[in-house]
Amino acid sequence: MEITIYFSHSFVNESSPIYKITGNGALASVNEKTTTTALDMIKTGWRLSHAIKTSQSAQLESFNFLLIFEK
Amino acid sequence: MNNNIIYGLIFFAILYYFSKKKKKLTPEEIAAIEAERLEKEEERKKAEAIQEEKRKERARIKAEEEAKILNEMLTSTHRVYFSYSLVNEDSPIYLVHPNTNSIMDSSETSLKKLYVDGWRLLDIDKTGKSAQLEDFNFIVRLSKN
Repeated sequence: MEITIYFSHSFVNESSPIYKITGNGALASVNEKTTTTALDMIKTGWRLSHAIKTSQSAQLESFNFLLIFEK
Repeated sequence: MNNNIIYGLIFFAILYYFSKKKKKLTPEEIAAIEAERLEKEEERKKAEAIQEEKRKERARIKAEEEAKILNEMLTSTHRVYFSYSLVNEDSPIYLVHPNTNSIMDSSETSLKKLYVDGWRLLDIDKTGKSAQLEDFNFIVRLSKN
């Protein structure tokens, strides 16, 4: 089994853009070139196993999520 | 009157000169002072060596304990890892020392490596409130059949 982790600034539906984060610690940053969606991930065989809300905001536009996919 | 003041100043100047003039040491006295200095230096080095030896011994014991605990944890089918910043599958994650709750640096790994070894993510909790990527503190629970 494989694992991959994505981040979304606003994960509100299956078509919300999600991104890989490159680098770690202080060097971590969203890689816009890796933009995809949960729908596309599922079409390519990945399964969303965990979705963790990473910010406190209750505003839809700030629904930050870390998304863990397995295949 | 002025002469008396001048004579007085000269007298005190001579007195000051002789009081400050260093006594000339004999070769034996010089040798004794040097021997004393060397002895003190030797004692200081010995004390430092003893302290260094104790420090190494403490470090060795700590490393042995950590290796023993790490070995026990690594043979378990369930593990709990901590990450300072879990942002992707390559982010470093660490086991937590059960007695001291300190991070065991020697246990560093990543979710990607653990998945290759057959581990699966059971549960994951964000432990910090920060929304900054570099502060994405997480506790990660994994299992292996």
